[in-house]
Amino acid sequence: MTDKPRSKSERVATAEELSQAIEQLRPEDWAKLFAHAENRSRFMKLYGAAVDGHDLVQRAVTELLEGRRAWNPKNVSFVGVLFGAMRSIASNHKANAVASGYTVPDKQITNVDEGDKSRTLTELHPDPSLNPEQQLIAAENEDDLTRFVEILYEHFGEDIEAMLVMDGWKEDLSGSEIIKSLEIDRKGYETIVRRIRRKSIVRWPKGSSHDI
Amino acid sequence: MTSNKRWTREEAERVLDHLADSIETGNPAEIAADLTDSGHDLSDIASRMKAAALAGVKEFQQQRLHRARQRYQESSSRIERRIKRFSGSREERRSMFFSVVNARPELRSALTMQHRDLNELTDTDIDSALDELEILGALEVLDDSAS
Repeated sequence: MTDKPRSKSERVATAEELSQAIEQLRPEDWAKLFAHAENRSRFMKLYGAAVDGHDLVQRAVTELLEGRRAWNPKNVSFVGVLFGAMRSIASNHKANAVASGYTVPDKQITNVDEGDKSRTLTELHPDPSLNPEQQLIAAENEDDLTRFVEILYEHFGEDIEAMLVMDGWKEDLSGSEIIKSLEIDRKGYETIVRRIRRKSIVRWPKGSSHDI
Repeated sequence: MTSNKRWTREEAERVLDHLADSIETGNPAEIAADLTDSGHDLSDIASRMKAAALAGVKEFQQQRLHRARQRYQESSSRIERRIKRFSGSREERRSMFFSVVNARPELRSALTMQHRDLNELTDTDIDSALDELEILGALEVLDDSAS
């Protein structure tokens, strides 16, 4: 998938093939895609986007059909190709946001939370591609830019291992480096990661005031 | 461990990236169970996600339809313009040709290279030159001056 030159076996999927692949997914596949799409939409919100997981999966399917991405069903599952497409949409959004100067220093984001009267990201750099309603959503989300991760971290107040792993991620350490520094094995690390992942999915039940 | 200092965007991004890796490699049934345990309705999630994905297919098909309609309209108006332009008498076509050449003097040198003297052009030469000018979009100057 991707920006690499296409091999002969990779080609653009047709609308019929994708519709068929969509119909064949199981509820647990959609659950996984939902968790991933929500994760990537949170990532994009860090860079001023006003999207949710549903928008993202819709865009991924459209991009596959437009031929911006190829798919070789023999090598990659449909779920896998959608993961790749959503990742790529999110990282392209970040690159465009950074290139267009949309992002501002973190200090400014912090000020918003501290009751400062400084203007929000959207006010400073309005995105002309957004309609007024989307602009509003983007502006509201700015207050929550990093809150999701902060609250997730605080939720592990008594789970020191989970906090240490998140500290490692925060410091840009790889899984192997964290394993080495915490003196645990790969299985132990993956168990801790699953606990964090579970909380990241379940911490905000649908409709909760913390559903950010 | 980290103090109460706010997380930066980059730090939050790294955590989200690691969580994305874990979701990608995770067991679908386990993730589905986590969502169900937290009160999510799995069939609701599945139907909303499926509807969004199918909306992606529909969006693409509508874009194609829109482009096809646009192409049809463009070619129809091109044909209409051509019929209008070439339906006149020999004199009218000749006069149209010279109007274009006068309005776009840069074309004159290209045409004289082919025909030496423009006044010696036959009716067939005029028709073929008008054809070429149409393809080049040079006849647009007539539309501009008419409007």
